[in-house]
Amino acid sequence: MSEPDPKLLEWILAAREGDQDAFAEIVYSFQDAVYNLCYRMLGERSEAEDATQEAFLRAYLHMKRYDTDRPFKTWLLSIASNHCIDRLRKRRMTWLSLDEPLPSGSALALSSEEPGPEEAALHNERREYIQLMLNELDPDYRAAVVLRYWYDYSYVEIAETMGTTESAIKSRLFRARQKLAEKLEDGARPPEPDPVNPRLLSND
Amino acid sequence: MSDTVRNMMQEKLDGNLDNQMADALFEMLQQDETLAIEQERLERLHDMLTRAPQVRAPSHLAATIMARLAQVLEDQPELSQVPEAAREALMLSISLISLSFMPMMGVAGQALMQALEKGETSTRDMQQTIALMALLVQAQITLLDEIEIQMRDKPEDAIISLALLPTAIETVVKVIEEAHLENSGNGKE
Repeated sequence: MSEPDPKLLEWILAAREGDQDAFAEIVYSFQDAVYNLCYRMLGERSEAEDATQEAFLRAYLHMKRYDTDRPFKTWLLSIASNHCIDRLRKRRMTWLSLDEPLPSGSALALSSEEPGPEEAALHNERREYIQLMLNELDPDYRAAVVLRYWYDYSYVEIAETMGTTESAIKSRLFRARQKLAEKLEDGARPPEPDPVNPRLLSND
Repeated sequence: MSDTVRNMMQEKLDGNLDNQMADALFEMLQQDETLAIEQERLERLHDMLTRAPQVRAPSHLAATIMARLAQVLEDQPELSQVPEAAREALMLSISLISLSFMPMMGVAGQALMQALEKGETSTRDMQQTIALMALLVQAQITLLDEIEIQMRDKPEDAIISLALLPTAIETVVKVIEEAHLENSGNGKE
């Protein structure tokens, strides 16, 4: 187990005693991580902002329950991911049906929010494209994919964050990957198509 | 597709496959075109997700969180400011909940003894009993946590919840007790 960051531990202990300045330091340190998770889970900026706020408020109110032997980030992200899963379950009916095809590449380009240089546009376009694919996954599958790819979490860490077993995560992640790969084939091509992966052809 | 192959394909994506297993998978992919196509799709997806960008929080977010926290704390009455009646109800209800659990523990203990006496069904009965006890203890913790939050946010509502809780728990225990007795009766027949 890695040693907790002494500065972070100091902020946590102070925040437990009601020190809001210490908690503000925690917010500054982890806001990007929590916001990115909420955005990837919910797929919408304003809702991701709201969910991030809610996750931090819950963290503050339940700070005394945090076990300092565990990684703080994992604990914080588990609060955020559980909150996002709850939100998704509540609004499940409003999501796109899995049977509907993804919008085409041109439609995605039009939906880009930040027109600018070509590179930035392509960047946004790809981000939106990935998001559309993620939006079609069940909440539990989506959380596993987000934690694996955006946080580089191991199966064990994902299981710990989501309160389940490593084998459940392996199975969930593989199903999620299969579904996304099918969508990638059936739907629109990504803005910047990848060639056939050479790694598959090489024996390494 | 077998679990073994599925695991190998996934481990390859995550870079966790040793040379021997990688060779074995390579052989399989060469012999099975469908599998090779699937792996190729997964690799393409994996590459795309690996390069997916992080989204940064808007610059105003931290300030918004802290302002919202300040507001929540301002609106939230301290436990000491909670009306005397609510505090008394909290104490009384916690005592009643604990008392309500005593018959359940008695039934659980009895079931455990019966399970030990029976040879072929002992494992199942013991598992059921232990699962039941864990479930009820967890329910108790969850309910008390929720009430604690409610005490901060809406002390008036918390009084009602607290008053109803012991009855609710006792009803659950009675239902379980009756179900257990019924099962015991059926077992004898």
